[in-house]
Amino acid sequence: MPVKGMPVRRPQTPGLLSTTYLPSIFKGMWITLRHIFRPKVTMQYPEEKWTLPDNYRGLPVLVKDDDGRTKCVACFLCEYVCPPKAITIQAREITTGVEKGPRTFDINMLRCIMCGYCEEVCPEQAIFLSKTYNLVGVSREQMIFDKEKLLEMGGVRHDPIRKWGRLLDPVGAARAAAPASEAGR
Amino acid sequence: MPDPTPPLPPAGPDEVALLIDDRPVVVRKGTTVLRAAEAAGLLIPHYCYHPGLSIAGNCRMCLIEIDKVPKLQIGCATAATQGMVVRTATPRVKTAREGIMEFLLINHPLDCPICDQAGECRLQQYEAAYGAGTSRFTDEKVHWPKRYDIGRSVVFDAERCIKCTRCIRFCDEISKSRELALFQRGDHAIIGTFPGKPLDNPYSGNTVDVCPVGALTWKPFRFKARVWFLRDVPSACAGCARGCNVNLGTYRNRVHRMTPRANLEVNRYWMCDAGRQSYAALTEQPRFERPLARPATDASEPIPWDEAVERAAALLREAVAAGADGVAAIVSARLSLEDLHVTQRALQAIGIGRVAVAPHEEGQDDHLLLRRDKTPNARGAALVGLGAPNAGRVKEILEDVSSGRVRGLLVVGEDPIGDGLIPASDLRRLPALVAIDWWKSPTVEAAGVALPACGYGEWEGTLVNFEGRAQRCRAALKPQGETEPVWRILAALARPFGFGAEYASASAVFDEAAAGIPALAGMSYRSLGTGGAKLKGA
Repeated sequence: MPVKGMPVRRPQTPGLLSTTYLPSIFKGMWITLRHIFRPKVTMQYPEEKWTLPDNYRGLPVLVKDDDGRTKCVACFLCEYVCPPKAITIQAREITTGVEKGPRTFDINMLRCIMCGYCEEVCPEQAIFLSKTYNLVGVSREQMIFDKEKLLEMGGVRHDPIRKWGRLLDPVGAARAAAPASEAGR
Repeated sequence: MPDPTPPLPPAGPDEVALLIDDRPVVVRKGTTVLRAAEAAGLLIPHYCYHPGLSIAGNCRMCLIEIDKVPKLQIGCATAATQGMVVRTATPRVKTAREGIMEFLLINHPLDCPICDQAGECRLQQYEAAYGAGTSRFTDEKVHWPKRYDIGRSVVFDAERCIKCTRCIRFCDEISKSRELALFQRGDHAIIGTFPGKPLDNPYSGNTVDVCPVGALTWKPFRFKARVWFLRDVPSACAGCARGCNVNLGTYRNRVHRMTPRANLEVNRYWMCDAGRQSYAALTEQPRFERPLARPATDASEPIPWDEAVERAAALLREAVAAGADGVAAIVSARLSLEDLHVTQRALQAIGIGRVAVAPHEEGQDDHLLLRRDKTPNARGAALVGLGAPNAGRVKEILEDVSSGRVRGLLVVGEDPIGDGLIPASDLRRLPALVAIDWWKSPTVEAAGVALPACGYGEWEGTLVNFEGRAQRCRAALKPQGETEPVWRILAALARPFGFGAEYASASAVFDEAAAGIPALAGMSYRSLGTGGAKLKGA
């Protein structure tokens, strides 16, 4: 049994004027002309930049506290939680104040997905997602940011809770270093 | 009306039957409730109780309720009796545990981010499982010395200490060195040493293991890796003839610590400090990752494996052709049974009849674990037919090397130059010196051809300890560079001499050895398991 299709209207052959394209050209130029006198909406990117929202998640950075101490104590929780395994830490023992700190702290920014888990998991409030979003480098090695670079990017961040304050002031530190036989309250 | 309780199972004359949380258990008379609960598959939380130490009963974490006993009792020190009905999870018990956790944590510094114990800390585990979860304490905590250097390899943090006295009991009862004691009393109590007598005994590392919290930490491991990253590979220590069962804590293809693995027939729960640090040699000693050969120039330079094996075989062939008396081999009893078995077969194929196994002795056997014999596999060497370690035979061979009667020498895993048995110049003069070792020893540097072997932790194999117990060492690391297990190197070296056997793995070598050696009859890697097995007739 033959199938019956639905009749389709084909466009009619264009008129003489349309074949010259002139109506369309003038129409387009009229639109362009109108926009010349309207307010500009395009952002001139490198010269002009976004105001980022407070919860913007850019590259992670390390911070120092008001005393200039690197806040990271190398607890490795960020390395553990990091989904793309971008963070690599080596710890070291330090003799003043808090016993432990990072010897190296590398973030491979090519791997980083700016998820913010590191900031969320950090028990020391030592790592934050900055608002830096332009990541430029000419080699893979340049994209691995070391501790010094991360600290420079992070700068000082004021923290009202001085968690290790007792160990950092001279009296508390001397007491913590007293031998067991002289210990007491 | 009381709940209907399940009937007690029948108990033998030396046994008692009891109910723990309605589970019937039969245990030997004199067993504590805590152990009985373990047998029933129930964990009663505890800090001060340790199966290898005496019972102190001071942490009070193991409080349990016993029917017809008005007060809560500590499970670790209460003997199970016939018909006893024990409950470990009643509201009273839970409240008591919560209270204990609150007491223990009131002055706890909560420095988990910088504490090495975090991840395997009883305080963390029990607070999560049995604690209240929040603190009601708002005052300043009591402060104690932190990072106090209490001994050669141990650091003490008094703020983290819960005074369970496990470390004190270890030093009193196991190492018998008695360095530690509890000073002051009440909440002034602190663990300490006596003036001028730091914690310094050959077993001090065990105090760190028994410490349920982070109060005692092991200096070489401090801040090296968080414990939750470590993969514990069950193995046996190769530091002496005892062969303590250990776990190799590995992370990023590196061993970061060695801890004892309980085996009541070998090392119980302990190991010595020297063994604990024996993994460090792997990274501290210089390695060579590719075969080295001495061409006309004196400097050894790396060459490909095929070429190295060819050259070594050619050297040995020339030496053997000049007279079988002129060739000898010195073999190490630090190699695995698999290595030694293939060595024995390969030497026969090559035609080296003069073999000596080098002994290594130091100090004396002590009361606990340490053995004078520092070779972990002397019994294995005797077993495969290479003979027991014999200093006289090694000396004879080396004397003949010096006098020029021995012209070819194969050294497997030994370092006669470094051990001061022969001057380097004498070995260097040898026309054919082939060395197989895992590190770049002076002998390797003097060798005509040196073939790199896997180090401890990289190879898989079996060690037979001085009591005749075969125990497996597992490979925990990827071999560094192009290093190979010794058995594979020797099989390749002997192949041009007509050695036909091909082995797929160390386990295949062991199976072949077990088929030929009556004392190993019927053994396989599977039957050895993690605890090892005694040789037949040992």
